[in-house]
Amino acid sequence: MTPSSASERSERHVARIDAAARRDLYALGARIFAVEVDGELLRRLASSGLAGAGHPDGLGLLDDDIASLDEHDAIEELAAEYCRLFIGPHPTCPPYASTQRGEALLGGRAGARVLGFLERHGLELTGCAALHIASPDHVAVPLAVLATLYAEAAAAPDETSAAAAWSAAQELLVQSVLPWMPGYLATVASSARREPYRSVPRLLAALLEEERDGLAR
Amino acid sequence: MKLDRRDFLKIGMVASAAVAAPGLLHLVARKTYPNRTAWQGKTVGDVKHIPSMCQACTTACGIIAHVKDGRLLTVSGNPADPNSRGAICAKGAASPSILYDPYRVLHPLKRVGKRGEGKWKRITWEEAYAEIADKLKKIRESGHPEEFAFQQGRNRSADAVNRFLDAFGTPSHFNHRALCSANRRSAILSTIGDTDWDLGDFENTQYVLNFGCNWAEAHQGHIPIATRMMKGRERGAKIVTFEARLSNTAALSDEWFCVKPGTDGVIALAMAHVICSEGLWDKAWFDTWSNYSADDYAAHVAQYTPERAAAESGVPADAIRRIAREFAGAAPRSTTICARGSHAHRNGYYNDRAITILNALVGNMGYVGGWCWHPLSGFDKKQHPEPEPIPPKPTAKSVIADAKDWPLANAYPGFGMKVGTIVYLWIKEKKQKLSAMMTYNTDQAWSWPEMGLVQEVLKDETLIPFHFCLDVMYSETAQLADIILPWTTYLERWDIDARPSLGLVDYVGLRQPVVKPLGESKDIREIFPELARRIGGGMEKYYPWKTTEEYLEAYFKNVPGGFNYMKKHGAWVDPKKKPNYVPYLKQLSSADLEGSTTDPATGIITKGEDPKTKKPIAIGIMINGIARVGFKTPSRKVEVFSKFLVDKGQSVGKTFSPLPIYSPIPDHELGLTDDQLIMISFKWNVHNAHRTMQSMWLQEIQHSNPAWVNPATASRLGLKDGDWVEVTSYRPRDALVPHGDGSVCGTVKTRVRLTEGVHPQVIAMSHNSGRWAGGPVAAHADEPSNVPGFDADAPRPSGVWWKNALSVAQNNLMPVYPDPITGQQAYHDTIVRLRKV
Ligand code: SF4
Repeated sequence: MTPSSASERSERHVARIDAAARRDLYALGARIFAVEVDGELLRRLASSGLAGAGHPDGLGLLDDDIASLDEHDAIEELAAEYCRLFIGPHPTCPPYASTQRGEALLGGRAGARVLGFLERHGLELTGCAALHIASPDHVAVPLAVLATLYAEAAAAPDETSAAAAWSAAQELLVQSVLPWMPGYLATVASSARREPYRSVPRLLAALLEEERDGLAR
Repeated sequence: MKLDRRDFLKIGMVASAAVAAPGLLHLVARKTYPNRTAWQGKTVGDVKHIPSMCQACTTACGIIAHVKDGRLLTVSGNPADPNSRGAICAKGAASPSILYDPYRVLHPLKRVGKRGEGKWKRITWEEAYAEIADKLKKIRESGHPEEFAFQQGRNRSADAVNRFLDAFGTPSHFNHRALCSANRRSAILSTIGDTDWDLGDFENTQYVLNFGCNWAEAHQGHIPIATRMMKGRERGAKIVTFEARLSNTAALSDEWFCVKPGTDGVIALAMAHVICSEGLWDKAWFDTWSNYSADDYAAHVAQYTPERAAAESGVPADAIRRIAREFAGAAPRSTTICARGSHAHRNGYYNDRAITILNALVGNMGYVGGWCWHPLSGFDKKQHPEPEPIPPKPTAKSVIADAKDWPLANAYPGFGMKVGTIVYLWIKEKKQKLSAMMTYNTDQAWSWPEMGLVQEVLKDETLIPFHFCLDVMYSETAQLADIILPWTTYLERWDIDARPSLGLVDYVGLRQPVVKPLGESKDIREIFPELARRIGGGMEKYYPWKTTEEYLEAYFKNVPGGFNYMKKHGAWVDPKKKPNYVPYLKQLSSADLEGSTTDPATGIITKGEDPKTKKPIAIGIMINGIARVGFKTPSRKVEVFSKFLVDKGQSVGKTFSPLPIYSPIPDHELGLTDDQLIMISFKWNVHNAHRTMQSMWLQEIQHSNPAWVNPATASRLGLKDGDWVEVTSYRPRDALVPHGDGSVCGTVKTRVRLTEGVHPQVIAMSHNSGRWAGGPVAAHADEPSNVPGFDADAPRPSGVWWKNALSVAQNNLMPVYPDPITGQQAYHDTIVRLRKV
């Protein structure tokens, strides 16, 4: 085996860090969309250094007034916002691709597409039932799949496995993410009245733009 | 926000710190087993075909659900169902869009704002159970179980509902029968003492007289009747429809007569007059089998000449004569049908008595092709008894459920019809204290007359301190709840069920889950046992079964092959049972007669004694020396003369006629001014109450309700097609109706659709419109003003291309208007004023 050059090693290192960053952002997004903020996440957001408005990066993961509430009240306030946005009744931003794309049936063609992807790539959904996610086209699912694939890319033992993970992520992006999610994220960001439901969708939207640029390159 | 690569790295690291990703999330994993065959697409491969029963409406047709990989693909009819025989309607076919409604309520929700404000949070079932059980337990232990009220809509799980309410001890069980079939049921029960449905032998008939029944679109027996009607017609039957509107049923008839609302009774009585005066009757049958002589009845109906009926109804006298002759000429292969046309009037009880007795006059009762019935309104409960232990009936009293002012509402044992119409008025007037209410499968805040009144009551925490709601979808009523529980659709739950069979042989059916419940939805068969265990105090002992399957195994034990047979076939008919033709002619056996007594004056045969009333039990009647079963009335004959009604009326200080009469609608009798019209309501064939309005497939077909107005009327009022009008409705001017003072009831703005298909004195507005809650498919109303929680700016899915279609809630205009005899809501009698705006 030809020893890789220093520049190749460095390139691989950068790619790993890049994949790990994507993994973490998509995981954060999946977590935020999948279920309400709980005590543990609230504390982590509060101690992230990105809590509070007016952060230099424009990233406020938590509103000032929420951060000042006691934990029970803060969680309830965020739960009401989560409910208004994603659960309903009459959610402002139904979290399913099928709904966003005007399909009459929850799941529908969008859900079948995600399932087909998982099937082809040897992946399976393990947590939907526990989180009461009704269909695989829930916004959290492709985000979680992307997090998983980028985690594999970041930890890949060799070039071939890493490339396979990157390529699977690209396939999912093209088929089940980019056609609807950027618009959806923009809607959520503009409809949300509380953080992190404004900042995280913006972050994800920016990341998807980067992904789209990357695909074009 | 534009981020470069360096930003990502930085934020990614922060995000990682924030959520310790991917530790918080386990949504996706690598498979540890080999791939199955590659994704094959929707309909290829292993599709399961699961028999069950539809409940998109109340007809309960047999269905086959076609399911692949746990997902429902399509629904078709189950040929093994003896009632629907493999047919379904558009609503049944649209079942996937009800199951997978994108706006379904899938999680328990608790309000975190004011009631009605629309601010909610998701809670766990554990939290929901704990709060509900705590509240109900306190009510039960207070010694006033009646303070827990249960408001149901369509209930096809009667065993489960009754078990819970009886075990709890509350009689405050409110249903919607007074909004549906109370007059029809009462009229038939007091005339023949038996069943309460339209079970004419339509497939074998030669002539159908239809008094306003919309069987092609909205009857309780919709598909089973419609398919038999069409078969009958193929075989040469003639269908004549009297209706104020050209419905799809009218369009499918051979003749349609556009009648003035509320005049069905006088048409039927005029026909009776023609039949009697021209000797077209089966006099021998009438004299033998009714409690009033044909000659006396002829004398009674002599006042109802075709000319008088023509003046009242608008149907030409010659046509009345001709049709009466045709109807009598076709007997016994002729029949009437009328639910819920002629009976949903202030005079509906008398109308349906007059119509029913037409059948007695021509002697078609119970004969092949004639006016038939079946004693059971569902499956045979003696053959399939409810599994023990069964709780006793409550001893507590409910002023509202037992409403006494309407003497026939609760007069028939086993047919507690109640007066749903007045429930919210009486709660408001504090006639009964309530501490909690559960709403089950209904949307009374939108579907009840004077919906504003219902909303006001549901919103008032002093009147209803705790309100929880179990439904498949969010609704105007759920919006006014404290807790919303997500209910399973009929495709995700169990029931033992059946309807009165048009084949005249009873059967039993199974509704079974064809897919797993979506989200966190649950059925009462799981919820009630859990609540009973938590409430305790002995309630729990009525739930010894570990699962619903175990309970149903016990229920179906008398079906050969048991529960397994039912799961495989969906329905079972006892081959030993025969169609219920001429049941009154059945002879009593010597065993039946052993120990019996015959009254020499009446011929009534009695045996034994009713343990409750201590009165002898009638088992038959001696007719021409033969002991026959007869009818199940006190006289064992068709009670043309109803002393029962007179006595019941006197018990509440009201005077009613023992014979069917034409009792004009008081408001109509006073005459209409130029700008006044009679408002009628109707349903579309693709909708059923609030439940189908969530379906994008069905809404796409029908989503708007402009008011139908006759062009002659429009020209008088200076209206063009599509013009906006303001419609103001008035409460009836009627001393026998609560608040019957002629005051303004409501006002709506709508548009007119000009059509010859409606009577010139009528404005027809459909139900199934004007919702403001329930998501963007159900609620696309134009004017959601003043509705708390309605988010008019919420994005709408692109599929809802009709989002700006006119959609108006008719129940803003519908007054609380109970018939004085049964409490039946008079849906088609309201006076409105029309003004161009
Ligand atoms: S008639 Fe009613 S029960 Fe029958 S298929 Fe249609 S909706 Fe279902």
